[in-house]
Formats: sequence, structure tokens, C-alpha cells
Amino acid sequence: MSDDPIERAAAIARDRFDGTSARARATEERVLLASRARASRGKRLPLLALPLVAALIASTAWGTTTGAGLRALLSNAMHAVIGERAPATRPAKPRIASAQRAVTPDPLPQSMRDLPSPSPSAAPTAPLEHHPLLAARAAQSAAKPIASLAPLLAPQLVPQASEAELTALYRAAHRAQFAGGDPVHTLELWDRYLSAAPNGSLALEARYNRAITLLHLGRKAEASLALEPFARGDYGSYRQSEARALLDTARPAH
Amino acid sequence: MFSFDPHFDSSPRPPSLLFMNPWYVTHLVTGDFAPPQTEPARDAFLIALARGDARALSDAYREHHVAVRAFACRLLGDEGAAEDMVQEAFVALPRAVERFRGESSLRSLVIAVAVNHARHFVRAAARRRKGVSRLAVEPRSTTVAAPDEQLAREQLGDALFRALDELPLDQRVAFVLCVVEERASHEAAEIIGAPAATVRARVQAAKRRLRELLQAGGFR
Repeated sequence: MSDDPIERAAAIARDRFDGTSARARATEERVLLASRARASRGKRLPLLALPLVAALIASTAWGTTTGAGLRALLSNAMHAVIGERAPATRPAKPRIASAQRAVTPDPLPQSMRDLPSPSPSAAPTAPLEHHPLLAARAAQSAAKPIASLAPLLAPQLVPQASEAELTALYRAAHRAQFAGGDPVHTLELWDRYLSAAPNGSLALEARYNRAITLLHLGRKAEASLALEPFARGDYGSYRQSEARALLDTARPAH
Repeated sequence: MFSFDPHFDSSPRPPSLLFMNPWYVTHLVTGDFAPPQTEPARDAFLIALARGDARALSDAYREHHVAVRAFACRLLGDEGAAEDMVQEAFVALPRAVERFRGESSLRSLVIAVAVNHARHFVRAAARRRKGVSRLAVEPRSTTVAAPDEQLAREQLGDALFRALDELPLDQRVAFVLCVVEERASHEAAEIIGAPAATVRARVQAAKRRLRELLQAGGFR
């Protein structure tokens, strides 16, 4: 072998990875699935875009002929659904402020005044806050205790552990395991790390080390369950041979 | 026997070209989609591949995945990340084939696609390696004590990948293609899309830096 460390290292890298993998077949299936999904997305896109383009063309044409814009069209449609006659060209204002005032529609432009007025049944003139739907919603929200919002807000309020905290947690668990700490405490630390970062950059190592800790505790069935994905090669060759050897020792002899 | 591929998209792009092609008609009749050897057959295969035909893609994968995976592993030093990179390269292959003018082999094209997608996989693999190396004392194996020589090889291999993490991506790719995979500089140039002289310069720069880093790590 060459004396040059670079040549030696290159040869080692060449020998270490020959391109074969137990996951090759699974990767092929994923490639075909992803490619199929991409192709069908490409086909669907024009179909999805068509109604949008049609709506844009129609609104532009309508806006050109009447002098009003797309905003007026949308605003009218929205207010016809809610039940309030909308100002034709003004942008929407905050509803809370407008509820305190009498509803006085803004003067319409000449071109809009020429249009036939909508039928009264299509656009009732009751103030917005008296609409039955809004009244029911208000009653419902008043009856609901504030505490019931907590579960909804909780996920946003739970602070996410930073990378530094996760590394510190990993380091503590690692130290506990490899420096002869209490296995029960070690297991607790691994569980805490994995629940904080189930897909963290060191989750794989944490899972393997947790399995070893379970073995130290004599919880062989749980350890076997934790080691099986490694032995099966779900994570490539990472710790595969070790996991297989450990599984052989963990399984009760028949 | 007639075999029908349900995933074959029979709509756009020059059907006349396909159906005038003997290899393509043979494929329809026999279902045999093995990558063809003759020039027109190769063109039809590439057309089918560019259209995202599942059989053509599957055949391209089977023909080239070992080479692409070997390159990805040697570039990243991490089999998990390499597997993802292989997947991404083959998913992006049909689009790359659309622009392919046949100036290199299909294998070079797939590796070129992998190179184009390498950046974030390299970063992820380097981050992962740094995370592990910070933890110092974890033993490499819990069951088998490696003999000294084997251990030294493992350590040199690991040191190489840590040192590669310190290189710019273009130097890293050039080094892996030319030194680890022992490709000629013109072949690496085709893959990278740069002049051969540029590739050689990148390899020299990479070697200089790697030598410094390995020596600093105690490897002489």
C-alpha cells in the first residue's frame, strides 16, 4: 500500500463503500412513487389553474365594462352571502368600528348607479352584529370558558428546545451511560432526549444507546424491540452487526 | 406476449418517433425494457425516460444505482444521507434527461445530477459527523474488538471524511471523483461541467488541504 496518507485514505473510502445496499430495492420503490407523484402533479396543475384563469379573465372583462375592479366583485359577492349591502369600491373597514355607526353606504360611482339594484331578499339590510349566525357565535364564545382555549394555544406556547440544549441533554445521557451512571437515570435521560428531538441529528445514536441501557436494566423484551430496526437494516448498516449480535444474546435460549 | 405498462404516459411528445423505433415496439410487445445498446434504441429509451416512464426509470435505476450510491457514500461518508441523495438524483433524472444532448454516458449524467443535489446532503452529513465527534469517547463497537490494523484503517477513513468536511464542495467533488473513484480528469470534467484543467487544479488544492488536515490529526 502507498505511503501517502491521502492515497491510503482514498483506498479505504473506496473499499468501505462499494455501492451495494440492503435498502436499494426500497429506494427504487420510493423513486418510482415520487416520480409518479411528480408526474400527476404536473398534469393536475393546468386543470387547477383553468378556473382561476377563467375567473381572472371574467373579472377583468367585467371591471373594464363597468369601471369597477375585481375588489368590488369579490366584496359584493361576500356581502351578499353575509347579508349586508357592501360599498362598491371602498376597501373593507374593521367591523368593530363600523358596528357603532349607522350603516351608510358610500356614494356609488355613476356607472354603478346605472345598474339595476339587487332585490331586497338577496341583500337584507340588518346590521352585521344582529345577524343570527354572528349572534349565535358570540353566545357560544361567551359561554365557553377561557381555559378551554388553553389546549389550542398550548402547542404554540411550549418552548422548543434549542440545539444547544438538546446537545447538552444528549451529552448528559451519554456521560451517564458511558461513565457508569445509574441505568434508570440514563434511560430517563435518553427518553427525555428522544421525546424532545425524535428526529434530531443524534436521534439514531440515542435510540441505539437507549436500547443498550434497556439491556443493562435487564429489560430484554423492550431492548429487543428497540434493536430490531437496527438489526433489520432500517437505518442502513449503522450498528447493524452489533444489533444482531446483541439480539442473539438478548433472546432467551430455547 | 403483449405487455401493457399502466404507468406509461401515452399522451404528449413525439409519438411518431417512438412508434417508428424498433426497440420501442419490441418493448411494447415483450415488456423487456433493458437499457438498449444501439443508437436509435438508446434515443427511444431516453425519450421514455424524459417522459418519466416508470419502466425506463426503473431500468435506469437498476443499471446505475450501484455506481451512484458508491459515489454518494464516498462523497458524504454517511450511508443514510447517501441513500436519500440517490433517491433525489433518480427522481430528478427525467427532467435532466430532457436537457441531455447525449454528450456523455447516462451514468455520468445521473452522477452529475447527484452532484447538483449534493450541497445540502453534504451539510447534513457534516453536521451529523460533528455532532458525533463532539461526544468523544463512544466506542466504535460494543461487541467486537477490532484488531489494531483494522482499527487504524477505520480511523484514517473517518479522518478523511472529517477533513473532507473542511473543503469547499467543488474541491470535495473533484477529489472524490478523481482520487477516490480514480476517474480520469476529462471524465470528472464531464460530470462536473467544468474544464478538465479546472478539475485538476481543484484536485491539487484539495490534496494540499487534506494533507495538512490529516497531518494535523496525526496521520503521516
